[in-house]
Amino acid sequence: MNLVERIRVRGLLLDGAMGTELQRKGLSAGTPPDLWNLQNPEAVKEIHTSYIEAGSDAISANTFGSSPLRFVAHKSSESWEEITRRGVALAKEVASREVLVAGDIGPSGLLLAPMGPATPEEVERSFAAQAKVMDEEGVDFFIAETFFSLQEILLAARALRSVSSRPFFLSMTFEKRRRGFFSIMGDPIVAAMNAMADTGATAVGANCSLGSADMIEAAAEIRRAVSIPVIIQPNAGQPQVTPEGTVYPETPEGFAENIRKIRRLGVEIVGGCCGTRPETIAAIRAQW
Amino acid sequence: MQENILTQLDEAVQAADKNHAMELVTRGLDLGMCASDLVERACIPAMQHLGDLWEEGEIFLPELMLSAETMKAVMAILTPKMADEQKERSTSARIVIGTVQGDIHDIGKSLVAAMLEAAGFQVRDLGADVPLEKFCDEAAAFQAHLVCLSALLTTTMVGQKKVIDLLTQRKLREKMKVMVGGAPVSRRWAEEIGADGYGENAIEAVRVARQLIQGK
Repeated sequence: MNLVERIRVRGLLLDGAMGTELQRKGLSAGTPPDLWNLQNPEAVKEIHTSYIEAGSDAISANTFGSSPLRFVAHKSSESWEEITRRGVALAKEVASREVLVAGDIGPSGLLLAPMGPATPEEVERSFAAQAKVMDEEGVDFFIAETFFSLQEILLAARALRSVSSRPFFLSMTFEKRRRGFFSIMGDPIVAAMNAMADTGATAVGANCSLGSADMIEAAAEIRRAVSIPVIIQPNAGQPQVTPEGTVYPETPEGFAENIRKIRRLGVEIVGGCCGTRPETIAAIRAQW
Repeated sequence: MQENILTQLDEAVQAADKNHAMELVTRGLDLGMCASDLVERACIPAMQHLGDLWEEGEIFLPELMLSAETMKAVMAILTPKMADEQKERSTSARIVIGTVQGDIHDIGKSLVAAMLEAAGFQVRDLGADVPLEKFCDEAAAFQAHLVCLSALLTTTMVGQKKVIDLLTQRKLREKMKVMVGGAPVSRRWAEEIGADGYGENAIEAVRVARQLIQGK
């Protein structure tokens, strides 16, 4: 059964957050999470393993921020390529045959001209370079996620297609405004989904920004907009800073209940974004 | 004629039509209009209207940034004229802004900086990942009225508190106001760490900055 058939027949449960889990393990403020692929690989592997044990069908490599353009902003002496390569290798080391490994791609962190300094060509080149490394390391598919600009995620899609024939999922982040869901660049959710579906993506959808309750409504709009598989990964609510640290308010049970509603809309691929934990994934698996 | 220029300038700023806006300002000044009138009766209302549209979800980041760029271009012409007019304006106050150490997020902070500059403040943008000491050094050297601290990560927010503590230690705190912002930052957090103000978004940041500086 290939990936698309598997998604259609059984759905696909992804993993939860990596960044917030690494912070729980002591990742310090401002250290790029991807850097731990080299500096603390055991912690990264433990998190992958805990998601697999919780029931994830696929895990995302710790490569969200390791594209050349984004990584250069950290002024780190480490190489983005080595970090990307190790990130995929760590995920593959712990994944059994049944568990798929996704190459994770985040936005470049730059605004495209005329708003910002980046040209479409350099942004596409950056994504292509990162994706090529992940393709060589043998990821099963790609997820480009948390993009707030349709223009930029379309560049990521082009880059992916130019260096790899593996399937890819595209996922943007939206805010709820008075007239509906929009990216902060003003891309309306339905138009964004249609444009992303036209790239040949295996799945399109939304992640981050919204908690699981608001995401139900966004998921319904996405499901109506496209016929290809849909991917949804909410946050565990809005982060609240307390004297004890940052807290994401949604419980695993509440989150799983909303995911159940999202799946009943016909959404095939689900997982968690910021603040979700192995317990969250286990709660979703329990009612799969 | 002069009313006409004010209306058109207001529209040009809202439409982010930079060349037209600069042309109108030049024409207005040639006709003997006050620079401060052009700012207060056209530019500021335009930005306030954009702010309302932003909060209602009618416009988005690109519109806001391009209008802020237009405002900056217009203000570059008008600010020296206003100084000539010898009008002591609160908006000539000095602001230091940056994203705190360990946090490379630049976009939100730069938008706030552009909006503040567009509102007529003198802004020194220190960029992202700014060492905490540097905020104090620059604020002291610039004799800032206001220090703006941005953080996009829950892990780097604590840097905002550290800068405030450092300003206190260096006896600079009573000389300047502090405003904080960034996605995870809340009013409660601002109060907890002893900041003077908090901006939920770029529009509110300008409003709060005005209040803080005028309240001094």
